[in-house]
Amino acid sequence: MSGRRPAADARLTVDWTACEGRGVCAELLPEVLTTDPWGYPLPAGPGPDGTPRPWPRRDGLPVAPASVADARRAVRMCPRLALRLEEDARRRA
Amino acid sequence: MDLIAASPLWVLARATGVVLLVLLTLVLSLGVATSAGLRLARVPRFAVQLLHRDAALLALALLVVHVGTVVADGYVDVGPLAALVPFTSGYAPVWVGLGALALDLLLALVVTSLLRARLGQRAWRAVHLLAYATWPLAVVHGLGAGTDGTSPWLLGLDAACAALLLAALGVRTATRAARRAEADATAPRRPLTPAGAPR
Amino acid sequence: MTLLPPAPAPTGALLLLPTPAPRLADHVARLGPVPLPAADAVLDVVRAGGLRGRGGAWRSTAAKMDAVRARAARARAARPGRAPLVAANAAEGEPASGKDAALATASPHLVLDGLQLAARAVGAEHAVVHGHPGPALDALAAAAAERAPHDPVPVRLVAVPRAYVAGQETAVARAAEGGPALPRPRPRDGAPAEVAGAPALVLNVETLARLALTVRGLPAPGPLVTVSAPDLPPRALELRPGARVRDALAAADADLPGRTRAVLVGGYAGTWLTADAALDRELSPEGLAPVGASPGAGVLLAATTGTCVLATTAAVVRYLADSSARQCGPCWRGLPHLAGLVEELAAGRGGPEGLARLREAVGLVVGRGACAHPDGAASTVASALAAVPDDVAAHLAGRCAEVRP
Ligand code: HEM
Ligand code: SF4
Ligand code: SF4
Repeated sequence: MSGRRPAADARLTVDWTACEGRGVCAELLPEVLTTDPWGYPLPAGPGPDGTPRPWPRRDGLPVAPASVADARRAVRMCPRLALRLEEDARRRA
Repeated sequence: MDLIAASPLWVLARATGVVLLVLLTLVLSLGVATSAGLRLARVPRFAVQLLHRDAALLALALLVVHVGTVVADGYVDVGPLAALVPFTSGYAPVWVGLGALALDLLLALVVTSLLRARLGQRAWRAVHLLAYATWPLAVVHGLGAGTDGTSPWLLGLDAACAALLLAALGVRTATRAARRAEADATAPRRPLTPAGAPR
Repeated sequence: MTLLPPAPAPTGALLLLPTPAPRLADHVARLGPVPLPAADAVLDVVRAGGLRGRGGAWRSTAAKMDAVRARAARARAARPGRAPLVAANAAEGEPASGKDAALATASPHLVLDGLQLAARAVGAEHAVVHGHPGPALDALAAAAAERAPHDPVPVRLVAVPRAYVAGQETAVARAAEGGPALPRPRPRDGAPAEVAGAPALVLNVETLARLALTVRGLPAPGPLVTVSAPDLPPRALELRPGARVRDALAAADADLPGRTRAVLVGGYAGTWLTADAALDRELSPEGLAPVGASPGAGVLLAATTGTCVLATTAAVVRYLADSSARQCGPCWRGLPHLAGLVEELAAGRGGPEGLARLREAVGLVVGRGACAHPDGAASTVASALAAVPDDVAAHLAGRCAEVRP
């Protein structure tokens, strides 16, 4: 799995009806995700004036090439299979 | 019977059986901890889940040794087929059959888990809940088929394993109840009666 | 909900809200029988007329029909006999909206004309009318029974309990299958809702009425809105084309524009604008876009002098929190949290630290749910904080500048 070429443009989406806020994803992908007070994933890093960075609903959360391997691992390990990583080859136009 | 008279293979079969009992208990307890989203001391959640998986893989490997030694030893009449197909053994068909059933289930659990992303959460989970049948099958198999399955120290080990598993289930129930109570605190405070501009 | 009778439009005859509501014979005598051209001809007219959805999203109706037709062709190829469904959506979950009920009561035949045309456009073989029990659904039911002998596509009624999310497109599809009227995740973002493997064309009743007028070659009526204020129950109004926010408020109550401090435009999941920013804007997506708002389902909620914008916002957000379908964690945990913090601010408690937590709570719900419900609440709160900074400052000091005890 980890031998695949890293994607230039990968985006992470969450099925919010499936996610139970276990926070496994944030543990595995700290450079991309943190957790909110209830354990649900949240974009890491500060947003506008100290507020959380908003989650990009339409396009998903961008994942830098260096983090794609970790992101794939998070997708595989989410206990609810609630995460999806869209890599550019598979992206809708 | 005494150990000296037994063949080395038979000793290995019994030893792996005992280790398997403990290991399987750990696999289930770690699975329960995973599904409760529990951290064990400083161990992060994903690591608990990885421990769960690795213990399961180790258990499967050890089970191959366990069954292989019994079959190879030839001390009792258990053929390779009887180890896989329940209730076909010449020796203690019921007790060995339960073990074969547990082996089949364990194999199914591991294979479906390795293919979880392809199977989808629903199908995987339906199979995964069979884990709760696997453990008692294995324990009863050990009590009945083992040479000294009912010896006091083994009964004591069984009891300790059962206690660990029950403790894990208890902690999970408590965690879930706490979460549910927190959720109820956010439930609608008043009936939903739309009334135009709120006043 | 208590609805005032529709007020007369300032100019011209009412196309959407005639009084009294015509029976079939009068309707046909007034507008002529509904022409039912071929599917492609209906689509051409829809495209040329630039029809857009009036349920709140303003999506192009032609694009929606195209998507359903494409999906239906694929569904038929996979399993012959799977025809798409059309639905007239009269479920008005938005508490401050009453225009769909008023329209369905006043012009049920116009809506049902539109339903037949929509069925024609996508090749549907059955149709449903989806709504909450009440006079509007009764009017549609009576009209449907009256015209059943003439309608090419049979119409079935689906009555669902009143709920904020019951009018979501996927909820309409689910109810048509006999399930609960709750949203479900779509196959893909923007894909048509589906009923038992076939696509469903779900159109708001106002969209259908406009479709029936467009196909007849009649001029497009002006906006249909619902105006309310703390001392004014929701009132449905048909305005002249090009009407501004000021005209809508004045049509509801002549001195309303003068005593309005701020307007929540678009409904509970809308945008607060100060009176200065809002009043002279045209009531259209284009007219309101420069100030960051949209007419949504045509809802205007005025905060008049003596009412607290923040208290109104608190009530709105609490209502939205209570309306969560409780399927997505950040929505059912985040919205009550958000509502609690707005209530604190409105009560003059919390102080600057509470305000910081409130801003954080807004960020916590944006984009994080299977539907846009949490985003709507976030928009209402964020726009309130931006529109009335002086009120916010006064509340931080522990008092409300508008409402004095
Ligand atoms: C490669 C092997 C395995 C993997 C990757 C794996 C993975 C998982 C995961 C991700 C969960 C969490 C489910 C949730 O959160 O809903 C879980 C739960 C569990 N697993 Fe496994 N598992 C494996 C093998 C096994 C085996 C062999 C057993 C037992 C014989 C087992 C017993 C359990 C139990 C009892 C639970 C708790 C189930 C519940 O009540 O929800 N697992 N496992
Ligand atoms: S690991 Fe999965 S279930 Fe857990 S918080 Fe992340 S997305 Fe949600
Ligand atoms: S976001 Fe909220 S209202 Fe929408 S589906 Fe999820 S829980 Fe339901």
